[in-house]
Amino acid sequence: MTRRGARAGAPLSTPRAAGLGLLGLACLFAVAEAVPRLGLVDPRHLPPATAILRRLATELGDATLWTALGETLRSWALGLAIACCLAVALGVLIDAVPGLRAATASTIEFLRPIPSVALIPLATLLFGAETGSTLLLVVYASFWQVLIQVLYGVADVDPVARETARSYRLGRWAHLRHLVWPTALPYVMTGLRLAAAVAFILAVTAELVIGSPGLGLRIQLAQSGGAVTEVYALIVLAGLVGVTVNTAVRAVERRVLAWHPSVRGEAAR
Amino acid sequence: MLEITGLGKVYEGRGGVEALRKIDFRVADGDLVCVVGPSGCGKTTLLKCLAGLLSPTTGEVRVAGRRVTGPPPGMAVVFQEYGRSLFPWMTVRKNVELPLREKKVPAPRRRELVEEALSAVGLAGAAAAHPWQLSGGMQQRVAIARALAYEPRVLLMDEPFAAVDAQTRAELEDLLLTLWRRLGVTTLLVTHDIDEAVYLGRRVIVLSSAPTVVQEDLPIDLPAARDQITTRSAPRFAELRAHVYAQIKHAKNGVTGGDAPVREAEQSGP
Repeated sequence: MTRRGARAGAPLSTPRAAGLGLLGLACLFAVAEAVPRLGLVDPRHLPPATAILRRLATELGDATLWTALGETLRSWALGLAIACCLAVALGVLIDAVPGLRAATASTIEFLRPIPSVALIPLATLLFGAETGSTLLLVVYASFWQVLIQVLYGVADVDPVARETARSYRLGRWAHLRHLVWPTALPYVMTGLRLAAAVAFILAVTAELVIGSPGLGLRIQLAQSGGAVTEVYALIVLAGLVGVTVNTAVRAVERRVLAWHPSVRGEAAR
Repeated sequence: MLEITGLGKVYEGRGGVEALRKIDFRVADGDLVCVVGPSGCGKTTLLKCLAGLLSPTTGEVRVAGRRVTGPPPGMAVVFQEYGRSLFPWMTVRKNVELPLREKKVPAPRRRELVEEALSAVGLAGAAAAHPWQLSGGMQQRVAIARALAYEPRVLLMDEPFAAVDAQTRAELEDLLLTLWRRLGVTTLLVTHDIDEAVYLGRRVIVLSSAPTVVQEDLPIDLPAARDQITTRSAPRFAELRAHVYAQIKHAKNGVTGGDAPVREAEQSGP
């Protein structure tokens, strides 16, 4: 049942929970509005919430912002896709070849904790201030999130299901396609959800630090121009994108895992 | 159809546990044999050796004359844990169909077999459901349907009705008897339930406790047509049941081949 535990946290979609969520947001907004207006913080450092939102609205009318956002999302999606494919392929291979898991475990444990941002010098050497740098960081960061989950997933095949498959003489491919992959899928989706968030963080970070095109670069430019309100507006935008990304991945998860105990409770019965 | 000769299984590891010492018996084509034994006597080990899921340490298993080295073709296994044996990500239809696809049965024939098997177990209407939407008894029916659709020559069942409630259990027992009579598939059923073994089997093989040998091979001379009420209340049923019970009790106490209870049972018979 640890599997269920690990995958808990299905969204509370009751009207009451939604209402409380909105109330929380309203409170945050009120505080962010009141603190600079009351002079608790210098409005030059923290402009009132309404000013930030007004600025965000003007920014959204600017075509170049959408181009920058597109750049970021492209690096995000592409990096995430590459990382996922690599991680799933490698995870399945590690499981399929006897001894490979033991042989790779220590290497994985060594490489995994290396912070992606530590690769920034390497990325700039290889790709300069271009999208390639962003991609490298995004792929590296999200790859491990997915790989670790895949490795847990493929090891979780039920012994009875495995014996059933063997007794019906399922071939190697059918075994992988119909037993190992569906078993690992909930783990893959958890990995994907974690990786999606990390990938977005790394995409913006790379652009901000390396100066590769995207939302991060725009924040950096706004900062160097002293446009504090714009910096805040862009940060809020980044947060909104993050929420959207998470919601989208969760929606995919619910669709793909309709049969899984963590999802089917709300879907069927 | 099924020949078990000098079958022994020692689990490797610290000290090595001898699960099966020497098992010999045969199951004739079209027979229905139940294997009972005290708990921990290696019933499941025996079944896994027969299914080719475990390789025996000594001796051999032959199915239709061919030595078993891995899961043999033409054999279906029904496990006790239906919930784990069925794939929750597939519908009932897909679960039943999957082994047929692996067997390279052409699609139209596959559809026929699935329909037939599902209606044979009374689940024609549940093909589109997922296993977890069904009750335990229905899930085990799906597992049985999957085995039937496979058109096996030998059907192995490992405590198939141990995890369902008593009423469902009686229903499933009768379902098995009906299907067996209709299809004539060679069936070997492992159970810990003495009543069930006597009720279902044409023969009951009683195992000793570990290290396990065949304690007794008992033909069940009850009328072929069995009924939950009349068969179970027949005096002969009670005798056979008492006899097997005594054998298992002896087996537990480490006495093998105690023949006194056999006579008792035989003398009081009709």
